[in-house]
Amino acid sequence: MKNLHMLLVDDETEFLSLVTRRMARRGVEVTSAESGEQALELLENEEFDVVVLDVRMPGMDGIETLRRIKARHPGTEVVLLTGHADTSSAYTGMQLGAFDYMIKPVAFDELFAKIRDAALVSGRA
Amino acid sequence: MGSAFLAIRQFLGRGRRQRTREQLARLREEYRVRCRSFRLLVKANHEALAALADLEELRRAGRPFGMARIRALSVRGLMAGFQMVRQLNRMAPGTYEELFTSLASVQTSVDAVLRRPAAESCPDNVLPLDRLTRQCSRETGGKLARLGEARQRMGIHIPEGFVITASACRRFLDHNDLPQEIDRLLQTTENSSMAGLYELSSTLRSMILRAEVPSGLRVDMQDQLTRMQALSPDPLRLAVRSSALGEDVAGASFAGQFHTELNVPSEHVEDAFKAVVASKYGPAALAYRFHRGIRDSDVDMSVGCMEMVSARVGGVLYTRDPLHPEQDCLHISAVFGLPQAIVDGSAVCDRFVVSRCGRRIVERHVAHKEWRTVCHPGEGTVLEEAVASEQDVPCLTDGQIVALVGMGLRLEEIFGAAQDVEWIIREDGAIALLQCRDLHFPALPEESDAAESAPEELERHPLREPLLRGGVTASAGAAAGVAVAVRSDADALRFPEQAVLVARSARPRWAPLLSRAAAVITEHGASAGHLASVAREYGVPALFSLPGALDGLAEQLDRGAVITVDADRGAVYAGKVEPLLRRPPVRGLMFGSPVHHCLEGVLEHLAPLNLDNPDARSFAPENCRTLHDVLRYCHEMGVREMFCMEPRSGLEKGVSRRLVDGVPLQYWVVDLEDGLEAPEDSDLRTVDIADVRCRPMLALWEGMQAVVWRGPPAVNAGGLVSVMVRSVSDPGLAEGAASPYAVRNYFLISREYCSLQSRFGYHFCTVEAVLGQDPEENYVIFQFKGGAADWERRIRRARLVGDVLEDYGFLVELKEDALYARREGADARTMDALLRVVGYLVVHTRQLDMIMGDSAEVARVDEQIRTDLAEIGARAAGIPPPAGDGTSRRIKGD
Repeated sequence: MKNLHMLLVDDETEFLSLVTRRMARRGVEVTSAESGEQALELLENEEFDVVVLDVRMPGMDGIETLRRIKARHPGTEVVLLTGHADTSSAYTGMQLGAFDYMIKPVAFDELFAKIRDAALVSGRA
Repeated sequence: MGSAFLAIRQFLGRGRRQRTREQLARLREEYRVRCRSFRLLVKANHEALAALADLEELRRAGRPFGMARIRALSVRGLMAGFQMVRQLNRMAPGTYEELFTSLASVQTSVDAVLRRPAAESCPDNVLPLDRLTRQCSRETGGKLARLGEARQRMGIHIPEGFVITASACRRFLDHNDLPQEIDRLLQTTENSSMAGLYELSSTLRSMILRAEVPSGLRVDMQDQLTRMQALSPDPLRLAVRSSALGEDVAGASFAGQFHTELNVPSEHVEDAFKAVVASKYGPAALAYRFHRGIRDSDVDMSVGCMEMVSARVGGVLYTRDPLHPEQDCLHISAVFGLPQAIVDGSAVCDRFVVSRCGRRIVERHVAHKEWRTVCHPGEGTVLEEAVASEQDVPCLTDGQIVALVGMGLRLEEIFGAAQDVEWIIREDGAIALLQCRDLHFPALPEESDAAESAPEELERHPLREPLLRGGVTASAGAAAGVAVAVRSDADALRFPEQAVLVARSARPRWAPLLSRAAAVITEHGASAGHLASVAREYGVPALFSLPGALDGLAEQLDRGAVITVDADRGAVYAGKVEPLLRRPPVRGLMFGSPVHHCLEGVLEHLAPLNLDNPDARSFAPENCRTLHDVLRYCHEMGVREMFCMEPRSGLEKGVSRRLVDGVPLQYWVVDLEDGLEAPEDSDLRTVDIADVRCRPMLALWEGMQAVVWRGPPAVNAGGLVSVMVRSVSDPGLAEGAASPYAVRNYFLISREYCSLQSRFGYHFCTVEAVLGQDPEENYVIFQFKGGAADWERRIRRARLVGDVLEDYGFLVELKEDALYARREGADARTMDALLRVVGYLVVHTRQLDMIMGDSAEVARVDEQIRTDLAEIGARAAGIPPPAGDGTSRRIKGD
């Protein structure tokens, strides 16, 4: 299986660097973005196997970012990640086509398994 | 009908010559998508059921949990349910759209239970204290509202002051965008260690301390301060106190969790206000809510700002004895100066017991009061040495005691319950009321034989000499544990479960430890203090004011030795003194709590299963009323879409080739991609096993062939009758009927993928596996259902096979006569071995159900399966099988 390339969007820099480090050890290349706007910009120029997106960010929130990603890159699978478990926003996210909705703190192995499943669906794994 | 089948139909409709490679590729692709959707559906089913099981476990166990956990599990279950609905719709586009509606309505109901109720907002930022009544308690908390009411109805002195309303406090948090951030932090750190708790608390509090007070509130506070200053010749000093809403939750005392700042100059009131609001997230408060099942949203803070009155004497009055509510007595604890040291648990104080009827002073304990708390000329309070002539005299006169008792009884009358009253006697001799609230009594310990027999037992086995004797019973009972000294927060962080906490003072700061402590001993502190209240609430035996406890127990503390605390009789013993130990008090504090209640509300929409019979007409999307219904429906339909909906007769004629191993076999192979050695040749009707290069199929086939199947097992009479009964009652089994049971055995393969669908008579089984170099990719799924024998026997077989698979590290799910087993992430070598095991089971469990009526036979079969599998395993590893086991069975190959 080829190496996965993942776009991680989260305004928590500590979380970004932790996940990036651990994913690297599993052969996943991580590009990080600290806002929805930045993520959309990156997606214009590069293809990713999967996007992991924090729901609550300053500026454009995760749900809006998801909406735009799906409108412009429908084949890109997005896993939502949130510190605030809320059934309404989760449901909206799924309806907008998120692959899944995970809750922080998330076990690394679970996150890893989930992005693999998502990448499998996007047909890029 | 599944899209793959539509494709197959189209494909076949064109006739053999018209088929192109392109179409075959499309067929394969659709089949792969279908397998993938089914796999995701099954995974999601596991996730959802696990979330439901966790929620049920929370409901049952009574261990503490918070809203964050309920939210997370609800979301997990619902989203996994969504995933199942989505994948089912991918397998059969357009067929199951209605399920989205059913699931959405479950989600809406759950959300309604979980959503924080919008609080009614009051436009006032501040309210003057002396105008409050109990009706204001939604904005001011019960404690402050009672002060106002006592002033108005009884003319009791209360300090001049005002309240910053709960609405104003909420607006303050909203103004700084904090509520969501607080929720997020609570979500991500719940259930963590003691260290996690302290860290969370510190983060939350510093966020609030840094926040900005909205200008409207600042102006209103300033107006009140100006009004108060106008009444006083001296520069205004204030006591800034919490008054939380929700402090009146039945049975919950909230003792000492929140912050109070004394003797605050008016220019610092704003900071003190923030500190009090922040104290909602102090470690004691966080731990308390968690253990009592109180939601964060159940507690709203309001803040009282009162004129600081300097006290000649201060203290606490209980209108009943919290340890013996049946006794007809009031208890007064008093010190010279401010009563702060009593509630903080650090003071040695005078104690008086007064009879309720007749108001006679029945007990007097005059302590040696070396220190007293007074206002510091600058800010705050200080301990100063008491005047020598006052150190050993009672701080209250009999007249003052009687006056206090009178006030207490009137307060009790107005508020309709026993009261916990904080009071002072001003320099001018007048009594002022600082605080009053309902007195909390500990839950009565369950009657236990041990407790009753204790005295007798003690007579028969006289106790050894106690290590220490004395002290005040702050919370009843006796308990044993390792002695651990707690002097600092660092000690608190290290405090182990079920140890005996030994501390200098009964500080409220140690309250978070009480959920883990077996008992508490302190050198200072009164039963009127906050820590005592919490100990009683948790049912932790506590012995306070035991002089020299730390020194006296130095040796035990050093060694980490076990001691027994008898709080009732005021004694501490070395080791574990069994006769003293009662059964541990029941601490089911979660049951009936707001959080538990909420969990039950959520479960009502998630857990019940209404769709129990898949053959019933009511088994339909519109009847899915709970999450569990949706899961059940999706799982059933997913299995049908994957395996049962349509016989594969078309596929068989079109692209399958019969497997030959010397002779033609009853197995057909469909090469999805790259699974056969020889490139596909349109004329070939058969494929030799030697040409198969699909790794998982080869391993599976090894297992299937390893031990020759001896045909249907010898059936006892009952088994045979059971089979005949089923045949008659099931039209699908009638001779020549076009039934799914007639379908033959198929391998669908690629280089690293294999799916086997096999039916043998009534027995229906599938294997799906990926076996490659990357362990992360590898998995094997084995499932079967059905059988020919009666229900009981089929269930017994499923259990037997499930046990075997569990021994091989499979996750096994049994549902009646169906078995679903899965293992993922094993390396290629392990996968190879596992597929042999599965292959063996595919062949040898076919008709086992028929002999499962007889327990001796079950045991024999179990034994045989395990022996065979051990041999297969040994053979794969190159170890010769154990010789001469006396059976006539032979291992193929070599």
